[in-house]
Amino acid sequence: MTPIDGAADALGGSIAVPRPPASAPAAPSALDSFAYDDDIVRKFMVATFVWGLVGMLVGLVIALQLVEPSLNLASWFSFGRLRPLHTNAVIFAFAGNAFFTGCYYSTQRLCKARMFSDGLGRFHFWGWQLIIVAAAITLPLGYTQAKEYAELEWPIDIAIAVVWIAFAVNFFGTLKKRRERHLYVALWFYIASIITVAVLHIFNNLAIPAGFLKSYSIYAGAQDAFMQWWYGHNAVAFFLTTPFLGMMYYFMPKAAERPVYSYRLSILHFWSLIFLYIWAGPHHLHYTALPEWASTLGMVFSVMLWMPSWGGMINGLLTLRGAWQKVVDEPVLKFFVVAITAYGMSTFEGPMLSIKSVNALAHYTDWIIAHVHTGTLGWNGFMTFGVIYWLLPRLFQTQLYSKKLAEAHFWIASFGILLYVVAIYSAGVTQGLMWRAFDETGRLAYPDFIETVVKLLPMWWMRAAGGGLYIVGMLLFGWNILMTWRRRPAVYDVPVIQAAPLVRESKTPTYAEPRRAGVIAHFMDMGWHRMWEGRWLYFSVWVLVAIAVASLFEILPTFLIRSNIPTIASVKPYTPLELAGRDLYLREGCFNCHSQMIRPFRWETERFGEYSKPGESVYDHPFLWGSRRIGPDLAREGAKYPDLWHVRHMQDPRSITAKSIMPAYPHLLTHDLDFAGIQRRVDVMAMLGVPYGDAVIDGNAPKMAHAQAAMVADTIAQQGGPAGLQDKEIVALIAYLQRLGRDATRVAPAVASGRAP
Amino acid sequence: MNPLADVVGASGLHVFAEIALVLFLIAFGSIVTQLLTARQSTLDHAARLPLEEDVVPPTSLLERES
Repeated sequence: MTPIDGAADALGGSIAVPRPPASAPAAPSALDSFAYDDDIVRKFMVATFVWGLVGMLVGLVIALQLVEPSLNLASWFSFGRLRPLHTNAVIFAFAGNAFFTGCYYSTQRLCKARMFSDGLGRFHFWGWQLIIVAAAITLPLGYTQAKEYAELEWPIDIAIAVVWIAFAVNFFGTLKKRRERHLYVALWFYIASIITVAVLHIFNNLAIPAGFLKSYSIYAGAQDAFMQWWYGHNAVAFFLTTPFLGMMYYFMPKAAERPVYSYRLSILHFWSLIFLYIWAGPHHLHYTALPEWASTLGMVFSVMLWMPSWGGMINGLLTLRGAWQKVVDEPVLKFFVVAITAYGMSTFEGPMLSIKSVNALAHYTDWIIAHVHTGTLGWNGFMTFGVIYWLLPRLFQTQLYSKKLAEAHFWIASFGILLYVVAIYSAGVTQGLMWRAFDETGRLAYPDFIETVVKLLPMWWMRAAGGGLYIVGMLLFGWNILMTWRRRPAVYDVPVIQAAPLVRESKTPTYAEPRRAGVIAHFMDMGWHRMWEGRWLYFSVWVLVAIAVASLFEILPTFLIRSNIPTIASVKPYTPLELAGRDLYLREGCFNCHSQMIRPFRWETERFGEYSKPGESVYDHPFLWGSRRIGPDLAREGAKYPDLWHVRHMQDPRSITAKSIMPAYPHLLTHDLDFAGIQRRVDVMAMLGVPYGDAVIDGNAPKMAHAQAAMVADTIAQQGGPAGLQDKEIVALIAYLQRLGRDATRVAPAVASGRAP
Repeated sequence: MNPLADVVGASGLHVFAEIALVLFLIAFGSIVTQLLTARQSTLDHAARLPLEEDVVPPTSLLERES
């Protein structure tokens, strides 16, 4: 028995005593004294609750807008503009602040060091909250890049990059000044998250500004789709998964009062996960106009991803081995157990959905929404609640106000999740099956898209009820936080921590065994992983290499090999007016409900027309293939209906389709179109390689737009519609809609005549 | 009718996926090898870090260790 073991026994075995590294015995006089910065943790914790509540309330509003379209009260309060606000708020504001809460708390303790800079911590906190406020203002006003989870416009994107770098400097600075040699596995997950999110954010958001809050992605069509889902999938991976796995590896052992089940498994989990995750993005684009090889590659890696994900789940759950009885009495553990179980279910379902035949049914349906919410409500939400309930007494230095309330929160929220996902899984499968159903004569069984929407309404009501219950749980959570805070001491105690400084590491691994003979034995004895684990810079570089290799192998061929995206000679750039109309389509968030991508299935081509080709969207900055069909696909919308039909439809969708759930857009008939701003937008498009030619980019764009607008307005008047619309936004949107999908298929001259030459 | 698949099939792009898979297998195999040969005591020490963080080694212990 070592002296340390003896001391631990003398202390009743209940207190763990750290073993100083064998190579670095510290003299008692050399102990450093310091205090942890828990004030920043408290700040992030409160922000987590506040933004979580806001984001979830917006989610409830948009859920209700789907069943009761009259709740689209104003242009800024319509589904298309609020849906990105919901996703951004719950991902970046709720889950983001939750990650920062857990990260700031655990990093300091795992490193036995105060954060590198209090100032950077405050800058990070206030900067992040300002970004959230900016998002909350700009998204309802219609300023959007129209890329899912990356909607925020370029000035805000720059702010995000700056604040994220400040966070990274603070985090890595803390690792550098740490007093614990080994970097615990939670820190690896934080490292991977911080590095990868920076890379994803910067490369996906590369855009050329066309105004203060307007920009165009530098990527177009299939390439933009590829970049977006490389980003989108990995935003889920490295913003909603790895940070929370880091928290799981820290807070689960703390709450269970026992070490993680298998540290070996955690190492395997980490490297497999970060290497595999980054490849999986293309599974979001199966059967679209993405190259087949990329789609298959994404599927294969997605299926492989199941194993490390379940490795992590098993590691988390088995940490409770021998302590399951604690789950009965401890709400924190209840939340963790359900969170990790939800993680397991989501990470089984994800690979399953990536299999092409399953994806063919599920893509664009509510099934994906159910999948996402199992993960976010279960995994992210419950991990966050568990962590915060565990932190509350420690941060406010008092007893939790009410354990019973926490229990009630757990059960109400659990029931809410169940109600939500059961309803939406049912809706998704129903939707998918109805879309592909043929009758005995070989025709579509449900030819009117609205039939497939109306069928879902009861399930959407049930979803709203489930979401409502989850929010009731949030209110109980908030009350518990508030009342615990009110019981805090007048002045927080700031414990002084003492720890030995880290002695400079020797070249040989700290825990190496005696060398053995032979090449393989020599490789095994190198202990290189042990060295990385202790050296944050090496470790971070290898993480970067792992994600960069995967990203480059997927992305470079798509960008460099021209044959990947065959061009179509008849596909021409949008006219200036159509481009303006497309921007209105983005502003109103139409892409949140309407895809522009017809897959090569008979049930799709029968319903929507010829399947989409990659060459059709080569001038689309950004691409608008969409990810969901609450309304029908619009890829072949051009010339399907007269211009007046669109006017009436935008004014009042229910005057055209009685049970339509689409919001009305009457403001498009009264708002003047910004003709003067069109030239700048065309110029930026030309800069991005769209072949407009001198006639358009030489100051002629507004004139051309006026001419086409007059033609569209005349057509509307001739068809019996209102006169004098030539200066209004509606003509631009109609021009755009009437252009959709016509170049590649060479449809005969349109019903609508308002076409530019 | 799928000209894109034909074009891509002839372009030899599958080599990217194969190289990626080999890279992954090398990295995975190396890590597994290292893990299987790692000392249990080392792993135990690492696994206990979250449970030990706030505890300062008593001076007497450090003196006895040194």
